[in-house]
Amino acid sequence: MRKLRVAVFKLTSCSGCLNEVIYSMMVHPELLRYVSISYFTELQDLNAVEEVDVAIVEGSVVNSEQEELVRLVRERAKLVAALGTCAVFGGVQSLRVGEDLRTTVLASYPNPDFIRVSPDVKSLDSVVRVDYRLPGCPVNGESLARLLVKLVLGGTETPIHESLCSECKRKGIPCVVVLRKEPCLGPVTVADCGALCPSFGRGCYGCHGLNALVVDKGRLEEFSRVVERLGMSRDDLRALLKAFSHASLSRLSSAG
Amino acid sequence: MALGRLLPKVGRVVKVVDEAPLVRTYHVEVEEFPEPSPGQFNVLYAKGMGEVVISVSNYVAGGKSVMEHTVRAIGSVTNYIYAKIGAGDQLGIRGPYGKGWPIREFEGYDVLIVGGGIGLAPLRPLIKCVSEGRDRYGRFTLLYGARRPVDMLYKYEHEEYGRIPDSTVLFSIDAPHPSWRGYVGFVTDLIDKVKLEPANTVAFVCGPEVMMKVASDKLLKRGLKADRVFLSLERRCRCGVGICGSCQLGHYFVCKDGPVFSYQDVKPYLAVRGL
Amino acid sequence: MPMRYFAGDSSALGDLISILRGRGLAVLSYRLWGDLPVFGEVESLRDLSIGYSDVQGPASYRLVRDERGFFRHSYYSPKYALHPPIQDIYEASNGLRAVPARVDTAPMALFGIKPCDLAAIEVLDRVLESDDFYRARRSAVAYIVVEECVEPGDTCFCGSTGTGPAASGGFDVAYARLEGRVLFRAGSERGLRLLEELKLGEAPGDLVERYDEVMEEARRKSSRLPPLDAVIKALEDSAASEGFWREVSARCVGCANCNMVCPTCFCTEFIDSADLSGRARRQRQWFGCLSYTYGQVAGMHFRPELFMRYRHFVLHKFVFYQRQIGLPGCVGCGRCITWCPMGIDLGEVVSRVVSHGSG
Repeated sequence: MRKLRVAVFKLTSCSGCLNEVIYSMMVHPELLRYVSISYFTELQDLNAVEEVDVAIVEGSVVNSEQEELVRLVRERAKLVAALGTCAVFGGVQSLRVGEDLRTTVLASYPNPDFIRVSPDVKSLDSVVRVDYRLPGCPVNGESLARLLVKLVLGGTETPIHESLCSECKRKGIPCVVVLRKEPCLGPVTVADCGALCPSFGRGCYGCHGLNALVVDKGRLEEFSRVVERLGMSRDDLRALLKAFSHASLSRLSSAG
Repeated sequence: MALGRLLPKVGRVVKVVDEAPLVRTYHVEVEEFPEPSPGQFNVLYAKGMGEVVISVSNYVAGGKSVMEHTVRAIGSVTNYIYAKIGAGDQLGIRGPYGKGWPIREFEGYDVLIVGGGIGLAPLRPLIKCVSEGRDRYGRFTLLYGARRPVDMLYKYEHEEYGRIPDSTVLFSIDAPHPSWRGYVGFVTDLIDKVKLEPANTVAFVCGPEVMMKVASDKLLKRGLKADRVFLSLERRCRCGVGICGSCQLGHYFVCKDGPVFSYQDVKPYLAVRGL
Repeated sequence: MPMRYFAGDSSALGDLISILRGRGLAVLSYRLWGDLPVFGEVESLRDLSIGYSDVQGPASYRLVRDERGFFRHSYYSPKYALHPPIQDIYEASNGLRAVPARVDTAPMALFGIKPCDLAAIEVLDRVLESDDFYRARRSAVAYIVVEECVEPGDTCFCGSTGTGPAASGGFDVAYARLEGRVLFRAGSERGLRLLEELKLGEAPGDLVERYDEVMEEARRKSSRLPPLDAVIKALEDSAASEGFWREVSARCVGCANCNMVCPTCFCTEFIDSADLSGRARRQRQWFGCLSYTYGQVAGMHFRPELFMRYRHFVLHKFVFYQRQIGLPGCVGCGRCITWCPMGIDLGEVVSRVVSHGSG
């Protein structure tokens, strides 16, 4: 079997998803025999942006250098996978969108002179075509491993789009909303995280992103009322959605 | 307890034919496989990737029967098959499933076939059936359209279709093309151009659902009865045997009660968008 | 032959569990696991959720300690045992030679399930008739002991669907707990033999009378829907009314909790996995028709909008099941109301369909 040529890039992000890439290869060491990595600055010293089968990109796009890099990556990769919520939706740094950029930068960095960011925080697919989206903050390493195995074998995953609640019920996890009366974003959040938070008795905070193929503005408003009654303020909900679903929130349709 | 219903048999791809861009016909040889009737489908399994429901477009009997499956690379499994499976490779196969065309019930009738795009695949065994049992059927009409000439299936057989005695065979493409001398427009337009004896005609239609609805309504206008017009429907078919529930259309399981239905049976359901 | 009723007290239920266990059966029932109402194996009377009430409402479920309380059900149902949420189908390691997964067919008894659960099993029996995996699990059920619903919950409407509050058939033993007494009746020869083993006395006439009264009251309380015929007719007539279905589904977020908790929802999706040593595995898992993928095929979608999938859910339960298997697919258990995080009330929706039709 020919090795799958992989490159892993990091844009604006916390690197937590890169850790998941490394963990997933530790859990599935056999993968290493079937992939060759040409770019992964966190893992190796020699890196070059070469032609690859799949480019895995972590992080959101926040300046023109990153846009250029991403375009180059797209040109040289047969497939591009957006890794983690930052790459898929923008991620936590989207919280600064709409705020005064200078104030935000000054509040965060002692030497703001080195920070070059645009006012917007872009998801990967708003800059280049993306073939796979693996959301999560951090990404579920098992989902990534499953995808890599299938890519090595010459195929791909068959996507199934459903909300987190399906996953909870299949696992028999007691419902945080109905049994505990706690706010949970599970009903409007895309599944495949393994229902991690509800399995520890806490509400989902939506890190896999809003189920925007189903939830339009009207339904989101209805849902907001429900979580508000459960004790989550509108501001908190807005913050969570902005932090984990920025890109899809701004595309949300009003009809449907 | 036997849990074999969903187990595939091991099939071997003996030949792959390029039909059209992203469309290939896979000839799969398999031992001890029930004979499919025209319009039935098989479920092909690409190891580790998943299954896909594909109609049988031709059947050659023998100790090891060979069945032809015309596959368009459009989803994850079909893309895999298109990219990775060639002659000599294995594919899992189970079937044949579903209710096919009721061609035997209509011996003595004029047969009209209307196909659109890849929809010709499940109709192909009907053409063979009429051609081989020519004296058992009346007038034969085949209307087949595709987007472009290159998208037509079984181009290597089209001349043969034209040689079927007492037949009319018309082709159409959607938009003008330099190499095309035939009709340009929808295949359903051709329905207006052929002679029909409505009382003695049975119609078999397969193509995109919109095209099938237009074709069926036109045929009704031309005087055919809704229970003499048959369509082969597509839905999300997963198990093929009516237990996964994915393919429901109203109260029908398309895999088990279909894929072939009389227009009369499905007209009320098809009339409601998204039912 | 007139129905024979037997009377005992709660200890008779414990004895019944012992007898069933003595026959080598795993006895499955609603039980508490910590403070959670689950469905699993019980060993004695102590394990049953007796002494608790489930207070259910739209998007609300509370377990209340109540000596005289009545426990109905939870998000669990016998479906978890008979048609498991995730099931292995086969594995192939040597080329394409697929080896079917083993199904656990250790004999079991379903105990204290409710009449709506029983009705749901009959629905699954018919709709999954040709599903080997379901049949293997189902045929491992040696006995069904039903607890009749002396006190329907606020989300229940089994009286309307004709699936409760009393058990009507397909069980071995049915019992009703009435003010400290337990009234038993047999639904099969085998059930009668079980009851004989319990050595119970015939029930006194006044207890049977009380039972009839209680069940009549329970039937009244659980009949809040318009008549089923009217519901079916109205749903048939409403199918093409997009505006109406958009409106009644406007609060739905497509989370599919209703599908998951519904004791008759049977749809599954296949999941294929592979590893790099040449092994491939095929599984199936519950899949809800409210989820986006339901109705999608490569390149297009037959139910792209949520109102279409919501309409399918409701129409299937009341209209299409009837045509598929001759029974309504809704058994009136109310789980879809309780476990809907949005608190959408199917009973209310159905009533609106009826008034929409006549209005």
